[in-house]
Amino acid sequence: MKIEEKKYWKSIEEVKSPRTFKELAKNEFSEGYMDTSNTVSRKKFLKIMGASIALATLSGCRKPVQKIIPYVNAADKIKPGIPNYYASVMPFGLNSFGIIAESHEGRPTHIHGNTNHPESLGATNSFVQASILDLYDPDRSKVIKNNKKISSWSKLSDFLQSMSSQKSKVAILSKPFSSPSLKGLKSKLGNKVDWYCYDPMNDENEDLGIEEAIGKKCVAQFSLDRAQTILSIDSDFLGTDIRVTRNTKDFSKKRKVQDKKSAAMNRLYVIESNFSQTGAIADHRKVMRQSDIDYFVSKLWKGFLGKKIDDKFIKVVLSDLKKNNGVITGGARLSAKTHELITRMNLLMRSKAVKYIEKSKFKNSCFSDEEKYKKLIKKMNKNEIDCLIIFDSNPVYFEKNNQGFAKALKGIKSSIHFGPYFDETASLCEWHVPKSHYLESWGDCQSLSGAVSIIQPLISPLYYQAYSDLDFLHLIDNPLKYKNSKPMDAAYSLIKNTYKKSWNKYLYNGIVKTDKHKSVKINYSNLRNARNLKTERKNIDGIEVSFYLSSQVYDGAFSNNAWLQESPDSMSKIAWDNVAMMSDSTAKKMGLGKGQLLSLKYNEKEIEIPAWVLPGHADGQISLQVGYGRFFKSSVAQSVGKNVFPLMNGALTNNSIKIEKRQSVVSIACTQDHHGMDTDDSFTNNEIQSRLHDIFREVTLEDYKKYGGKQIAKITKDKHLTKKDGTDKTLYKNPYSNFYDAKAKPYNKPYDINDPPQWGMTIDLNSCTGCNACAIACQSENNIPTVGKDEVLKGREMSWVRLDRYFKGSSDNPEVAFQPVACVHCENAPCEQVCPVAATVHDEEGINAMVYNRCIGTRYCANNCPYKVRRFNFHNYTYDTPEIVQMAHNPDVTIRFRGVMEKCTYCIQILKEAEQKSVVQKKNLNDIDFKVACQSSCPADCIEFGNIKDSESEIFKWKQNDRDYSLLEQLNTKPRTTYLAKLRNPNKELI
Amino acid sequence: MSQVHLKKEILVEGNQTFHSVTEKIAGIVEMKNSNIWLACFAVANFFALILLVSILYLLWEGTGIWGLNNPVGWGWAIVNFVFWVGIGHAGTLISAVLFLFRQQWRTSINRFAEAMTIFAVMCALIFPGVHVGRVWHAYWLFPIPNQMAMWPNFRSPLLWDVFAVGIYFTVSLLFWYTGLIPDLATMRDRAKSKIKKVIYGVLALGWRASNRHWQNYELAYLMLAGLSTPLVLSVHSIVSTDFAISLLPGWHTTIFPPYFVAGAIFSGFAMVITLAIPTRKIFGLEEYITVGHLERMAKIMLLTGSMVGYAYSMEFFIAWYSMVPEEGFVFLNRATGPYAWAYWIMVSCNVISPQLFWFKRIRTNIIALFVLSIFINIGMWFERFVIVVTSLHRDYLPSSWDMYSPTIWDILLFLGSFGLFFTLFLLFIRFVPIISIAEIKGVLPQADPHYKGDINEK
Repeated sequence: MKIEEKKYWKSIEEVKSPRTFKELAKNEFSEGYMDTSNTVSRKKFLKIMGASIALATLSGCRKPVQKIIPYVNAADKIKPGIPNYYASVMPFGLNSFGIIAESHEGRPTHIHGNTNHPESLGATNSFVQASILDLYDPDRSKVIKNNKKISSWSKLSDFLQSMSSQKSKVAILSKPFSSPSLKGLKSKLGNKVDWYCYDPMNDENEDLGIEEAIGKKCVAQFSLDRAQTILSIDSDFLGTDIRVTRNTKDFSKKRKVQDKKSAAMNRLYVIESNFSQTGAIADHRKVMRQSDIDYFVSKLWKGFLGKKIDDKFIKVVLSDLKKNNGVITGGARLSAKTHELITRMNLLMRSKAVKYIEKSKFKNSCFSDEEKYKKLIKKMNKNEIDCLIIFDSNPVYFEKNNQGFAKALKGIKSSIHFGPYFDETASLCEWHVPKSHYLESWGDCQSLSGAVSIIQPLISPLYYQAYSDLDFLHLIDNPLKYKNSKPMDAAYSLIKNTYKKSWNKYLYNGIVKTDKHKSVKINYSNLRNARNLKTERKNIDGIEVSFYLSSQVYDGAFSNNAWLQESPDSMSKIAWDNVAMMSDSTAKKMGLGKGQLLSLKYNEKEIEIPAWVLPGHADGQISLQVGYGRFFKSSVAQSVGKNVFPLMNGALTNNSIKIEKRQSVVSIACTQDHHGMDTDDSFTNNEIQSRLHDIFREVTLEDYKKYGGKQIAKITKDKHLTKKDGTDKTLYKNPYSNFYDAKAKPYNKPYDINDPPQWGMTIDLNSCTGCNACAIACQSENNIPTVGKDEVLKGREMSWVRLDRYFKGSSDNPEVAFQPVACVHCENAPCEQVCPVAATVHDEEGINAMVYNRCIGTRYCANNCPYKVRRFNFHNYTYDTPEIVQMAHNPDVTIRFRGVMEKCTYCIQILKEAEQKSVVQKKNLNDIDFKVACQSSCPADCIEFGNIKDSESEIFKWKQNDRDYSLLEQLNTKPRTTYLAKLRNPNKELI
Repeated sequence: MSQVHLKKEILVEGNQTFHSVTEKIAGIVEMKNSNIWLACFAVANFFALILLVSILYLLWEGTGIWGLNNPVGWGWAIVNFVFWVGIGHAGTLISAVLFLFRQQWRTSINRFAEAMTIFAVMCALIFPGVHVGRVWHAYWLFPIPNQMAMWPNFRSPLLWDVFAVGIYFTVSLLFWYTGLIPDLATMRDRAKSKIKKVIYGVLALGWRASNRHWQNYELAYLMLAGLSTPLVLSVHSIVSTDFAISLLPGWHTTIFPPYFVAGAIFSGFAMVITLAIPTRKIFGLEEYITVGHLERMAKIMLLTGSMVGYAYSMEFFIAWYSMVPEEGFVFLNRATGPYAWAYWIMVSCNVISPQLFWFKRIRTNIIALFVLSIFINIGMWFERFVIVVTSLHRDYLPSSWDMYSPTIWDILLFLGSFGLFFTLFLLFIRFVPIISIAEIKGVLPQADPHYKGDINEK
């Protein structure tokens, strides 16, 4: 035992000085699929020399041939080349997203939303899309470990058996979840173990506030489609909320405008400190720092009660909320008091858009409880716990400043970590058990809206020793019985037994049942009499530091996911980093430049993090994203960004952090605003502003109602382009123009090669929230490589869809424009004309096709593309993609070699499949159900795609919308992708 | 009627005889390697080796080793290509156009100006060859019949480039070689070793200086001069269409063809001067390449430099006059944006410095000429940099705007191309008469049938 302890301590020393450990680990782990650095090492030099020999001798040789080996015994229901689809569900904390996973020859490759599931309604979000890559993560833990040595399930079982025979005190620490079976096993374990549940980014203030207002422990549940006016107070319900997909669906429903007659929209007011996606889409946004928001709400309450206030904004907002089906949402950073007021106001308004549901109704959920967690640490310190089982949680990583979890963990006798990675917590635990991915395990989930679904595995665990959470709990419950069980055995029999009633139907639909929770009974009489709710305005001289969830890596759960790491933050457009976000004037006051390092120090914990200016950020505040700075051995997550958890005390805002300026400047990979977008550079800024009205077209709802599309058309139609009779004024007759000009008629026939469909796309800018789901869906569907921070810094990101973000107006509180841009498939494509080898050509369906194996990589097409949507393989980005990651590739799409140009193909593989189906099944093409990847993923339904020749198609209707315009119309490129101009719905009284 | 006796201009100084000309010029080839030459050759070779290494590394690793990125798909490689092709213009202009215009002063500089052209075009051709992503398929640019029945895209200016530069190189080489034949025969006749005799003998194509030979030779030379003349104008016009045909603001300009040709001649003459001044000094050729020659070239640089300056200002005017906002921005961005330094280097080198050639004292001052020619070389390189990079880095959609900066490999490849250029040039000096012996004899006073001894001395 002593020897073991020695070893144990040794490893702790490594973690105690994380920097050296990190460096050590970094050197040790030399492979990485991001390594495309340009430095010439000795090894590389030898490689070049070797290459010269290879060039001399092997110039005639081609790449080695890989042969396809046929099945000896053909697998059942697998037809090579034809994917199968299975319904499943992805657990996401207390919520879950229903999915349809696409499986090619037994490999899940892409995820679609499940239309039956109330939390996805057919759409997805970036986390769901990217979760497929997590399945094939080569860094996932592969074996059961005991004291860092490979061990086995049966040895673990022996250990657990000895624990139970010694009557040891066992505790389990988990993160919040919502699953009938897990909850069942939890209660089964009830008397044997203490169960603790903790989430560092919890909503406990909200729970407390609601409890205070209603008198019962309740959960607020919003149905934003029922609200006409929404006031969001620091709540990013369109960004990092766990119900983001449903919220976006509901919200965007109220933003669909067909024509000026029926035009109606909801109105969104946002009060926040840092710029969130929700703030970006707001009709009115007010910026104030975190501590002022609580004060603002108390004023709002005063006004709500009819007392005199001298704030016009509050008056207008209140009357709007009361008149037009208002609802107020509140974020996790607000105080309990503020939440109480919000709850009272929502109830007093009789808001239809929010339900308060008793917590006890969520029978299958396990909520975070911070107080209990603190007790756990105390108990651990007092040696009252013999064995701590950390159940799919990472408390060592998200340890806040004064929590002392890691110290307590080191002190206890034995510990077991169960999770997908051998992470920060695992390295401090005696045992580690790898957790299987949700696509390789049986289980079930209940979503926040009450939908119960079965987690159906699509593949058996890639790493044989990875067990699902249900398997693992079974073992804890009965170590003897499950000593020899294989992964999925125990879980499968449990799930099968639970849902045997209509097993096939449940699996097919991806949903078992939907328990619609009823709202709690409210006593309205007392709501106006809030006790002790006077909030004084806090005078904080220094700079507040506030923490929020990352829309890329969430709380760190996705930090080893290269797709998410490389998808730029919606607002800052930064990839591969977290930064200290602040306003321009704060940066100026502190004398900081972009990327200049700041030292943030709180109770001996210090981090250095680069400063970054984000327009529309509150003055006197720094906002930090959590989830970065992971310090476990990994090829993606490690040393990306900084871990900011040590700077947190209990709350999500900290006012007592010492901030110091450092001299050094760090380069930050930002995919937009390279140089010259600084607010000081008025020359460039003015230019951008002057172009914006044409690039990103928008009108107010009121003007639209009055003038219709003319208001937009006024700035669009360029007289130079058309003759008096409306025909093109062009020297060059476009051979494809007749497709576009052809009169549309119903295309009620199967695919006809002599009368091919004409594909087109329209993007409704009115509801785009800039969420990146389309970009990641595209990455997954089209095998787009990630390139790593160095390459992004050079401006070589590969994503086919990029989300352009523009600021408009003052830098203190600008308006934001999100515009997804992929190849627009010009009918008169500038790229096609200049390619010397005809590698990019038009096909008869109007697609600007890219012929990879014809391309020699002159990059002329990219230069001549006014939309700059072409992406070049500067390096062989897929060269060292680990074999396991290659399994995530879509077999219908070629992997592009270095030196080849690529870009959006309108998911041509999906179109061809639909056309084939139509021909083979003799079905009308418009009856074939297909969606391109971005369209299918979009939770705001703002992408429509289809046959523009078909007058009955949805896309045809969209194109007829008078808000429809082409990007850079003046160039006469005739893009097939067009945009619907954005409508803003500001309150007249506030303009 | 009084007789007006026009004094013929002296093109070769020092009262040379036919023999002394042959001795002097052939002597440069025949003498032993000088230390200066060896030192120069070593340095040039070193840089040529750098070229080789940077090309090999490029082929191994891909164009990602350069500073290229998404909006800026063309960088130094294309800048260097246009730069070298531009330099390659002076040779043919001197040898063909001036030949047709009977400008006899060209004889003492045409040989090495042509050689310079050929070497410059060779350097230029490297860049489009290796800058493509998949070099091993670069031959697809040629209209080679293939099993796919695929032709290259004849609408693409890059394809026109292939033809234009290819033809220019071929014709320049033929022209140069044709002009060399009598001199190669001289070298053959003077050769002492067997190997030299054979090699020069083969290359001289059996030249015996018979009347019939001379007749054929003169005709061939004249015809090649006629063929080359339109090429002088066409090559850079077509290179300029790489830019002009696109719809990128800053590239999409109709002034480009004449502007590029003027710039090319400008830079070509600057390079001739840069090479001529040290060469005449080292090999004592001051009597053949006289200050008069240099002054004439300075005048041409003054003319073409002014044309280039006019083009710069006209671009600005049209950008404003066209009322295309993006176009206007590109030019303002060049002059005041993040690459303004490059723009102003270009303007000061290309527009301001040649204006000094209005002064005869500067035109005839060897050091000033040399320094200014270097400035012009720098300025013309920056002109191409400004055109390529500043147009690309900020085009239509501000979301894609980015900056471009070269990497060490961009720089090494460029330096390496100078290594190749000078290696070839130094080899040329040692193996081929650097001044046309046969032609220079034709402009000696002695060649005049009415020559009556030393008239000039009287």
